[in-house]
Order: sequence, then C-alpha cells, then structure tokens
Amino acid sequence: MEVVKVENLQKNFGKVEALRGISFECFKGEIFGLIGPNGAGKSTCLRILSTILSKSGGEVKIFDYDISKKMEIKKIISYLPEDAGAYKNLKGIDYLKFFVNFFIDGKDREKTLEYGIELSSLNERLNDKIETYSKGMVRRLLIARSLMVEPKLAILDEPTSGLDVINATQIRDIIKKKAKEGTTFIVSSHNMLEVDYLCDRISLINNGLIVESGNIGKLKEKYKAQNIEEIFVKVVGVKNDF
Amino acid sequence: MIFNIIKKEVKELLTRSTIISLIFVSFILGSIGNFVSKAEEGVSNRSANIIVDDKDSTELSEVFSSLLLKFSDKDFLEKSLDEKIKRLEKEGGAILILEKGFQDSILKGGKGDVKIEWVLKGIGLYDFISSDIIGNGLNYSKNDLTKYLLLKKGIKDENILEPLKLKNENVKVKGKVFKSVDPKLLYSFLGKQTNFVPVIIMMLLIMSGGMIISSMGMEKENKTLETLLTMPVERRDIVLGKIIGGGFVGIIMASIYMVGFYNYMKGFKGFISNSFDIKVFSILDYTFIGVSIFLSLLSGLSLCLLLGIFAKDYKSAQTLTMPVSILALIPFFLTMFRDFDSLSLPLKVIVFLIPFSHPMMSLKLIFFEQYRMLFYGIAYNLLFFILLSIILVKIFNTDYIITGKGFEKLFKRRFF
Repeated sequence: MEVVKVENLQKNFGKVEALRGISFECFKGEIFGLIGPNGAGKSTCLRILSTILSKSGGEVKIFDYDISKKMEIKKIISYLPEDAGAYKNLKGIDYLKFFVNFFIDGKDREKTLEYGIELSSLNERLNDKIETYSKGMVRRLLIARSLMVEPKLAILDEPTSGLDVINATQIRDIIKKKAKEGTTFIVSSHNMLEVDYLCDRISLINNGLIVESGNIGKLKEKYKAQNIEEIFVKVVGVKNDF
Repeated sequence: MIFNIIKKEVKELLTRSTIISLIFVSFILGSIGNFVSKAEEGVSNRSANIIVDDKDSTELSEVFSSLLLKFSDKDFLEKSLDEKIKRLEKEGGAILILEKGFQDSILKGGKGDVKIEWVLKGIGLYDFISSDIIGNGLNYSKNDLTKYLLLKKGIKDENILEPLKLKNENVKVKGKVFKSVDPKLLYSFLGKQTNFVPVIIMMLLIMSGGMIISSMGMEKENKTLETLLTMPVERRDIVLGKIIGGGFVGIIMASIYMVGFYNYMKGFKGFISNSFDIKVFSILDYTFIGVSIFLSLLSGLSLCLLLGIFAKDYKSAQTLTMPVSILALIPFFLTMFRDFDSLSLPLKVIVFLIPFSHPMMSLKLIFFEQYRMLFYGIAYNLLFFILLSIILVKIFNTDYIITGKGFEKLFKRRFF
C-alpha cells in the first residue's frame, strides 16, 4: 500500500532552489531513507512532508490526503527534527503528557502515556526536569514522544545524530520493531552504516535532485559497491554533469 | 487544545526558582522601603552632635548658643571637649563658631557672624541626617532669637513674624473643584493613588514580555516550535496559547512584586489629609481599570511575540525586549510629568498610539470622570490586539516562522 507519494516536488527560498522537482514513494511498514550531503535538500523535503513548510510546486500525497489537508495529515504523522531539544523546564513525564493531550482523549490517554514511558526507558528519571538529562536521554524522550501516539507515518530527521553507540542502537531497534508493527518511516541520515542497517529502500539526493533510488541490495549490485557510501560517491560522480 | 498549550506555557515559565527569586526581590524591595522610612523618621526625631564655640561670650551669643544646643545629643553634651571632637570625627556633626562682635553687630542693625565647620560621616542618605537636623536647628534658633530681640525692643506681638493668614479655598482642575486643599497636597494624594498603575504595567510588560520573547527564542533554538507546528492544532491556537499563558504568568509575577512594591512605597508616604472631598472608585470603575490593564497586557504580549519571531535563538531574543521597554517608558514618563490633556497634539497622538499608555492613564481619567477617553483607550487596545493577532497568525502560517526568510514577500503579498 502506497503511503507517501511525492511527484516533482519543488521548493524555492527566494532565488535559491532547494528542491528541483523530486519524486519518490513509500509503502506501508517500510523504512525509507533519504540520503545526501549537507544542504542537499533532505530536511526541506521532510519539513514539507511534515506540513511545516509549504511547497513551491509539484504534488505530495500522504495516505491519499493532499498535503494542503494539513490537519488531517497532522493527526496521522509524527515528526522528529534534526538536533531537536525539549522544553527544559518541564519534567520528562510532563513533556510526554503535553504531547499526548494533542492526540488522545479519555482512558486511552493513560494507556498511550504508559507506552511512551516504556518506549523512553527513562523510568524514574521522567520525574526530573529535562534540563538534567543527557543528550541521549533527551533523544530517547523525543523518540518516545514521536512513536507513543502510534503514528501511521513517522518522519525522523537524523534520529541518532550525536548519540553514543548504545543509545543509537537502542533507538534503531525501536524503529525496526515499530516498522514491523506497520508504522512507515521516512528517515534522513548522514550515517551510511545506520541507513544500511535500518532502511529497506533509499533515495539519494544531491543539490535538490534525487539522483538514484531503489532497494539497497540491488543498488549495491548495480554499482558493484560494498556499501552505500560507495554507491553515493559513484552516483554523484556519474551524475556530476547535472 | 488551547488550554493544553496555556498549561504548558505556565508550567515552563513559572518555575520554582523564578517564584523564589521574585519573592526574594519583593522582600528586598519592601526592606528598602522600611529603611527609607526609618531614615525619614530619623530626620525629625534624632538629635545631632553639635559643638558651639562662643567667642563673643555676650548675652545674645549665650542665648543663641543655648537655643542651638537644644538640638544637640544629650549624651554628647556631657562629654569632654576631646571626647566630643573624637565622636564628631566618627559620627559626623558640626562646630558652630559664634565670632567676636556677634552681639554688637546685631544690636547695631548688622548681622552676627556664625561660622560652621561641617563633619560628614559619608555621602549616603543616612549620613546626611545629622546635617539636616543641624540645619533645622539653626532655622528654629534663628526664629527664637528674632522673637527674643523683638521682646527686648518691647514688641510683644509674635504675629509680626507671620502677619499673613493664608487659606486654600478651592482648587479647580479639569472642571472638578476640590475644597480647602493645598494643590501640592492634592498632587501628592493623586500621585499616591495613580502612580502605582503605571508601575504595574511596566513590571507586567517587562516581565511577561521578556518571558514570551525568550520562550520564542528557546523554541527556535531547541526546534520545539517545529515539533509543535506538526501537532494537530491550529496555529492560531498556538499563538493565543502563548499570549494567554505568558499573560497569566505575568499577572502572578506582578502580584508578588506588588506586595514588595507596596511596602517600598509605604516608606515614601508623606502626610496626606483624608479630609478633602475625593472620588471613591466603584466596583465598575475598578472593572474598567482591570479591563484596560488586561487588554494592554495582551497587546504588549502580542507585540513581544511578534518580536520573538525575529529571534534566531535564546541569546538574540534577550536584546529584543529593549524596544518594548522603551515603548512602555515613553507613556510612563510623559504621563508622570505632564497630563495627557496638556501635551502637544503630536505627543498626544504618540501617547495614544502606544497601547501601554491607556491603563497608565486610566485611574486619572476615572478620577476626573473622563470616561469617554477611557473607553477610546480600551477600544484601541482591543483593536490593536486583534490586528496584531491576525498578523501573528498569518506569519505563523508561513515558512518565515521556521526559515526566517521571505518576510518582505509576506507583506508584499498580503498588504500591498
């Protein structure tokens, strides 16, 4: 089942063309990776899909909703920005409660909150203020916030950026588990090993254009590459004329 | 949904440490007031260290000397000269030298020479108390000496020193007549009644406005705003939630501050008569004042939120409180030194256009029953708040809120 359909998506910031007509699609329960160097247009694309930014051209559909139906889309998606923080003066538990209240009413609220607590693995530390948390703890809280409401589509921009191996592994495992349960993920990352481990399919983006897309295994075969880094270098090298 | 945002704003802004520091400042403010009050009491009650060096040793110089020494500290008078000088160096006071020929000069129609050597303990408010006491003592002694001289010349009528009997009949101001009042006393009374509202407005704006700007800076720095914008809530509710949450916290903080400020002001209170006819405010009047303050606060917070949008991070947000503080200071000082009615037309327009002016003037307007102007102010503030909220919601609905780019485009498209 097609969950996201992006066709000829364009985004301009004044004279700067951040996205120059990209197209891709994602399917239910898939972890889709958007890969590219800094300034390639990854975050801009994810922000448009999250309804934060408007598009300059093209079409975007999420679960058959046109991207202009913001309120409907917001009810079924979850977005985690790159290097995001949390409200430092709130306790971890209050942070989760604040976001639960946007989605769920009544009895389900408690159930969702309990699930958020479980996902965060922060236990008693949830009763402390977020300003006392380490970077890894904050990221775990944010992941819990993103996934506790059982979104149909989770958009994660650099989900493990700046985390140590243990914290990063824990977060990757959570993403894998949720994808198996049916959540669709769009993930952006600089970490090619992470992409290799997590994603089913990827699109390589460079200078606002998608230069290659497909299943990771097949792409490795096609470019006779050992890893995604090699694929990327070969593709960008080949497509440099663009 | 909006209550969820308001609750979050209040929880985030009203921290335990903020409340404790506010209570501490409030306590310190009240203590300063008590200190000033005691200092003022000291001027009227305390005696000073006075040494009189009578070089003339005549009847008149001795009379004047004894009159002066009534203002000297009794304990000080009993000390030896060496001890007196030591204490003078330590605590401050004065040596008054009645020069030779003091009596002769006065009796021949001239003036008696009195030289004063002042010793000040320091240059603080308290340190000047002894010099004030000595100054007052000199004036009283001079008066008593005059009476003594008149008596010696056979003039028994002391009223010759004050031959006029002045009586304040009426004071007419803005069409209102106050009976048997000294204009200075009336000003002092009105000032005491009306000056505290501008101070509340100033504190409310600077505190809650600063908080809302900083909160926007933090939201951008931590990218929590990006997350908030993806929640299933209208952006209009995010704007209103932030303004109302900030306003609620501002009111709580200002209330704590006002307790301290009230105690502080008590330190400055002068003698004010309650005998003259003064308007008693009704519940409706207080409601008008409350509405005026609340709408002005909402206008101010909308303005702060607008400024907060320009903040890139928490650090840059700090500098953006300055324009709002200046805007609040203009009506604060203008209405303190001049009445709105006596301002020139351009100044009147400026003061009227600043939304913080209206609650600052509200008490005076009610006092002089200028209700029309009060309602104009309330209507203006309501309009200002609605307009600014519309602009804010429009900006929140654009990419500018995230990217910080395309602001000019927004205005070109929407307004020109």
